[in-house]
Amino acid sequence: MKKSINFFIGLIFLVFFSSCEKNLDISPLGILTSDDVFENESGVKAYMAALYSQLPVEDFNYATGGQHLANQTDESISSYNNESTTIPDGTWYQWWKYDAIRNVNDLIVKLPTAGLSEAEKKSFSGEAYFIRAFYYFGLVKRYGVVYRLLMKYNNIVGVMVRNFRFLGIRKRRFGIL
Amino acid sequence: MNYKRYNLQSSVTVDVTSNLKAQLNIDGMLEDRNNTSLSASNIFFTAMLAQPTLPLYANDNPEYLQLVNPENVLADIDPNRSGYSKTKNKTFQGNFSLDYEFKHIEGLNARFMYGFNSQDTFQKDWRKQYNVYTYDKVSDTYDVAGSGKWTPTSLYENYSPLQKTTILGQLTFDRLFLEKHHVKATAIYEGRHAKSDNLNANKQFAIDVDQLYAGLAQNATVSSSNIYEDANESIIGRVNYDFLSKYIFEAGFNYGGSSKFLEGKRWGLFPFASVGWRISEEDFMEESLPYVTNLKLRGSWGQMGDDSAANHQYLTGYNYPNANYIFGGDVIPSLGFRGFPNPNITWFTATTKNVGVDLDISNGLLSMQFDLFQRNRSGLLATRALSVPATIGANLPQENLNKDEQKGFEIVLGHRKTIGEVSYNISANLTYTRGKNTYIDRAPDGNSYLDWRNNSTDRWKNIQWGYEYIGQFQNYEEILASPLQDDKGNRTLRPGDLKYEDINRDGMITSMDQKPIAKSNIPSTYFGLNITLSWKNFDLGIFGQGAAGYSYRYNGMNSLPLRWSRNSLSQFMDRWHHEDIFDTSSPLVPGFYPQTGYVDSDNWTSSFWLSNGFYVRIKKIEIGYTFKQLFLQNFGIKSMRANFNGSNLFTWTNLRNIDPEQQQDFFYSYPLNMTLGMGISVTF
Repeated sequence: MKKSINFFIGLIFLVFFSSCEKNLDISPLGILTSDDVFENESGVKAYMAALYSQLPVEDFNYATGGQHLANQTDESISSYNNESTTIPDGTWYQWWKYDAIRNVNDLIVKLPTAGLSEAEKKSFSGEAYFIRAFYYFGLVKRYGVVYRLLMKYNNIVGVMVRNFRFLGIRKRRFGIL
Repeated sequence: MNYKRYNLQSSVTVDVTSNLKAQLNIDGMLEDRNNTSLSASNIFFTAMLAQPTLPLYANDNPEYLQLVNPENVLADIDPNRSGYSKTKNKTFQGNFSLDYEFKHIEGLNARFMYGFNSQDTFQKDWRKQYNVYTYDKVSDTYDVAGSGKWTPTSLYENYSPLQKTTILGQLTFDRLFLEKHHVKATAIYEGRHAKSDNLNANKQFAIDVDQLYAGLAQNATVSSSNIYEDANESIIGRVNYDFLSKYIFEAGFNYGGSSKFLEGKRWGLFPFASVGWRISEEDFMEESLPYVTNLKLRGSWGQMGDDSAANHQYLTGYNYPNANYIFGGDVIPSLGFRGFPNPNITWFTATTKNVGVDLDISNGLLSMQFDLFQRNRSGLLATRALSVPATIGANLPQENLNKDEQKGFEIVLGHRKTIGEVSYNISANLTYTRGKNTYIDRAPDGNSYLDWRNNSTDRWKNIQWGYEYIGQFQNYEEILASPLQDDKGNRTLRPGDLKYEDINRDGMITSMDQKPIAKSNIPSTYFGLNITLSWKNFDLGIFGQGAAGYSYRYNGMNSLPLRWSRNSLSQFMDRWHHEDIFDTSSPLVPGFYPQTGYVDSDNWTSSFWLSNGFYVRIKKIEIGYTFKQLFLQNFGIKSMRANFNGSNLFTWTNLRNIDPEQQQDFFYSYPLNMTLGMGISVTF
């Protein structure tokens, strides 16, 4: 009788105090972390593949959105639709990919900690610097004077606090990551 | 097509000691679902849309299916032609609980429960290619004209196991002090954990063997999607107190934690409280108004948390695999980049307020319940609009930004009486709600017109924007004299086309001429009626329901006849058309609908295509007869009742071809069934 009481009180306490923070610490199953990516060469290669695949298209023979560059002018467009047709404004060929530039900055910062040989690190960072230069070149060709995304803004929270303070939103809402 | 289900249930209760009880429940279920590879509603609309001018068999030869737009329905309903979709579900549920009654402290009970739930789903979709033909009369040959919906033949298999566990500990104290003060206190800890895994494979086939091994290596895929793991914890405390059941108080809290948020933002405290006063228990009421059986005033206030945010928005990281890129000869899947994390993402809160009255006169002769409620949600997830420039180089995460409000009332009226051998019970209810956004994070509009058009802050949600329909064009002179509405100088318009009001008087019908013209398609009012009646051994039950305060916008087949060269509804026979439809110079005959042929402005949202969605439906009627016990007792039968019942018997609505309850857009949904049934229930 006494035993069962003790057992039961014990059980209740066990349940109440098992509610520690650990139960809720669940790492994501569908997201790769920086550690996963920078562990070895194949992770960094996948990163490089993302950078290369976002290079701006500068080839006039290459069609994006089903149209060649010449189709953006009134000389090559046919007026088949009741004599009215809209000449595209060329936004298909725009390139304002600061997200791609940020990704290069991020790679350059994280590369020294990657699990690669020194030679591989040098080779990858050389490619990264070239890609970033090519990205900026794509921007300059299209828009002339462009912004430069500084490496120091890689600290994500830094950027957020700056911008939201500018918008008059309280800083403490964004805490420290 | 068929569906089989097997159930196994077992429950064991053991009294371990006089005050400790253990219970074990085990529940197992096996489900076997066998379907055609297209769903029933899909088959239904394929049949509806089929061109009526074509046979289903080429040259009426049953060996050759005719090419029909969109698909040949004979192939869709035949698993031997178009394949099947089979699903096997295995569910296991186990619950173990212990209940303990403390002997030294009167009224104190404890409960512990552990639950385990496992669901395995295996899906096998065999999508078979089949040929459709056209018949060539001259050479008397059948030419292959297409290869059906599934080309090439493929097999898709999906296995997804899901496991859930629940653990619960509860202490309850329930006692009446001095025969006046009733105190009840509860403390609960609850933990939930769910984990879902998934494997899916897809292969294409050259030889029709419906097993994965026989598939081609080319284009074969194996992957997993929708894998997740999450956990919740809550600590709940609640105290109830009442004095002689007259003054009733309740207060408590729910302290909830969710694995979807970062440490520090995980836990939310959600308090609640309510009060009640049973006026009918007061002495003065019993003296002055003795026929009032129950009169109660009540009010409550409470908060609830919702953690339905997408998982792990507080983390940066990478999605993988993304687009491919080629290095040398190798195809390398690239990384996808996630936007900024939001370490502060957390619960959103719903605050509910409610006041109500319960009234009952002479034990049910007349009863009423009235409730006034309001729910304010804050911290609704949204992405900040245009607040940061694109030069930051990443997408903003969701934040707990927006707020909304919903309010309304509910009334339930009841009447119960017995006259001689007839006794009846009528109960009617009506709920009215509407909501608005009280805060939306958005960039300011450039001018006050755009603000009026696009800013829905503090505006009721149930409005529908559209053009003001002012009649049909009667002739070409009228078209040319009217404001431009096709951006081609009205040259595409024809008599019979719909004409709209130029609200801003700029000589053109553009989106700037839209205004709120009707209620949205979400009903503001729902009502129901429940009647039961009995006379001698007969009983009758009627259940009706309905909705009002909304409009339905005709769409798809209901507004676009002969679209995509497919079938049309007969209602479009009543349209503007030439007297001789093969001769465009013959005079026009007016009709209800515009001429066929697609003119963009004919299908704009206007009162022409809107209909009041008010409906009343008799959902169920049941007539029963209970047999007298005397003659049945010889067979060992205690009681027996026979009944006839029907559901969805009558509907009163303005809507054509649309079920007001389902409100399916674009194509017909599978229609609601009217069912008639008959049953006998026997108790031994």
